[in-house]
This record gives sequence, C-alpha cells and structure tokens, in this order.
Amino acid sequence: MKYTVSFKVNGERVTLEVEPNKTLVKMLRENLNLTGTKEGCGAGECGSCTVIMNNKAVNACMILAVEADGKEILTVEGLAPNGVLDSLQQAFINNGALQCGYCTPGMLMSAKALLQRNPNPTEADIKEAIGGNLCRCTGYNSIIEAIKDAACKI
Amino acid sequence: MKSFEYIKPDTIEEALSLLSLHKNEAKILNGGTDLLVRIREQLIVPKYLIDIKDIPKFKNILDTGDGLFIGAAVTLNELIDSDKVRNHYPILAQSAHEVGSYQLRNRATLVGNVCNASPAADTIPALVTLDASVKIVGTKGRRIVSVLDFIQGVRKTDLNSDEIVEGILLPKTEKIVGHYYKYTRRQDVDLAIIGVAVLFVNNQWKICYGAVAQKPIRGYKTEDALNKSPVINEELLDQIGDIAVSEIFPITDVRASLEYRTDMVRVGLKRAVLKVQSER
Repeated sequence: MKYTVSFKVNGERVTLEVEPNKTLVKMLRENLNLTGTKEGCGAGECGSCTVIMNNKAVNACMILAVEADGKEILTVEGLAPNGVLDSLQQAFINNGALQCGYCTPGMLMSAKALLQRNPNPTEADIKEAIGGNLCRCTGYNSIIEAIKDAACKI
Repeated sequence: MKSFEYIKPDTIEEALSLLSLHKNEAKILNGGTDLLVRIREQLIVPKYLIDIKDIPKFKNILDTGDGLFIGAAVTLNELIDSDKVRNHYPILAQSAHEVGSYQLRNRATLVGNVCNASPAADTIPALVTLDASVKIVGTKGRRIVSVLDFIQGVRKTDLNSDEIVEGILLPKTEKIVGHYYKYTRRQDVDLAIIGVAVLFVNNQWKICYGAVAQKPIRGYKTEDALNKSPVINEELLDQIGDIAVSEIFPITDVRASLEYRTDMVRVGLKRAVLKVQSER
C-alpha cells in the first residue's frame, strides 16, 4: 500500500508515492537519485546518512519516508545549488578533510547544521556536532580544522 | 524491513482507539530510534505503526504547579535546550546529553528512552533519583507510576497494550546538585558499561545505578552510608564502594566483564559523589 508524501528537498517541492516501510535515506537515494547521502549502518549509529530536516541534523535511516511529509530537507547536494561550493565544502578541500569520502556528506550536513545554529562554535561544540559521524580514514582532526576554518569565514 | 500500515492520529482518543483495535499488532512510533532498528532486524514485526508525534499535548514541557511535565514527543535535544529543565533538573539534561549522538537526540525522546527500558538507558538513573513518574493514558483512564516501578525488567515495563505514556512528571524540588557518571568505551554512540546517578537534594543523597542489573537499582544502602557520614572524602568513598558493590548485579557481556563493571561502579560512584560534593 502506497502513501503520498509531499515535502521540500533542497528548495524544490516534491510529491511521491512510497511504501510505508521505506526509510528517508532510501527514498532520497532511490526515488530522487540524491545519492550523496549514504547508508552505512542503517541503524542510526554511523551518521553517514545525516541530512538536515526542518533545520535539524538527523539520521535519515531512522526516519520513515512517510514521516518526511510536510518537512523541508537539505541534503549534501543542496550545499552547492549552482555549482558554487559552500564554504564548508571548500574548507574540507583546503584542509584535506576527506580521503575515501564516504563519511563526508554526513560530516558536511552535521557541520552545516552546527554552523546554522552556532556560527562561532568551540572545538567542544564541533566535537559534539560530529560525534555521531564516524570516519575510518582521517582521524577526525582535519575535519575539525575544516569546520573551524569554515566558521571563521562566515 | 517488512511492511506495515502507518497511521498518524491527531488526538489521544484516536491513538487509543487504534491501539484497542489492533492491540499487539500495533506499535507506537515516536522518535523511532529504537523501534526502527528492531523492525529492521526483524526482532519485532508490527502490522501497524501509530505515529504519536503530532498529538498536541505530547510536544509540551509544562509547569504543572507541582513540578514539570515532559510530553512524550519531546526530543532529547529539546529537553537539553529547555531552560525549565536546565535550571531545575540539570542532572536530567546532563544525562540526556549522554544518549547516542546529536542527530539521534534530535529524534529520540525521553519517554522513548524510558519505555524502551534498556538496562543501559542513560536517562533512567537520573529520573529515579529525581523521583520521576510516568503518566499513562489508556482506554480505562489515566494512571501515574513511578519510573522505578514502571521499569520491570529488560525491555519490560508496566505498560499495557492499550495504553500510551503521555509524558514524564518531575516533582517540584528544592535546589538539586547532581551528576550522572556514564562509563563508555567512546564518547558518543555507545551504551553505558555502567552508569551512576548521584543527586544531592534537601541535604540527602540519592543514588541510582544503571547497566548493572536487569532494572535500575536505587542504591538505598549507599545512600544510608553517605547520609550518615559527616565528612565525605575519598577514603570514605573507597569504603562505601563495598556497600555499592553489594547492591548491584552486573553481568559479563560483549562490552565488559562482571569484574570490570564492579570495579567501575566503585570509580563511578566516587567520581560522581566528589563532583556533586564540590558543587554543593
């Protein structure tokens, strides 16, 4: 049985028919081809599926597609709408804050949500914001530096 | 995950009538951060999910005159950001902050943490020390149960299949100083190996141990020993550690051995009490 979901993603209004057992991450990736958001653990523990929903960073694997009805969602694709990189993305590049890139969209969205609510974060604030985003490659320091860097540039 | 029907009632009455109709085939969907994991792993196979997040009363943090009411759909981050909670029940805000990760706390709820009744739950020890209660609504009416009595075992609560937890009630209190010590392997996204909630209020100590039994353990003997002691120092706490150990029932599991948990309760109790002592 399908349900109609209507929501905004990256500024655009979208209406879809989805099965109730489909998660938000799968809907973004499969129905909307927004494959920037990754599914790592599917259990809300790794953060690679992080998106911003109604201005809050959330794990998209822990939200049903039907729960997105009426919401506004920002994914990593929405950070560079006209091909111009967000200052966070540029800072990640400048600081070498990625290697395989798998955690990166989630890291960027957690960081984006942080800077939206707190443009001047301390290192502790940054660590709190990305504490739910696991990275197997970088050792996190370059990511923290990149976020500090982007915060300075706002 | 296996499919189900998703229903989003607008009122408590609607939600209750859905529960009456579908009984054990329905599960309440609130934050979803415990439920969806269990459905995905096929530990449960509900046919109906009843999403209670839109029910107006459930989103409130309200001064009741007798204390504070925290609605079922209030997320952990909303709880942490609430001045009412931070000013009057700081140990609860601090405990809530130990749960999961920032993203998870934007969806997970205080009531969900209680209803899930994991022995390692982070908000439960603090709630026990605060003498918090669970406000339940069912087809037969409303009732209030202390959190300590509500939690009956591993993932077992006093909730009947035709009932919903409306919220948590925190009684009005004099100024409290408290700390929840959570011992984990990593800073975020980890279950407590052991948890010790220590509260000092009205010149009395209140202690609750988490992750060391099937249910939260109120440390009555530990409290007695602390309340009887004119001077609280490291030496005393080393001795009281023996009393603490006599009250808990830790096990060996993937995260730690029984012996290590026992040792860490001594450490946790000491650190938490000294911290509270320094802030009194």
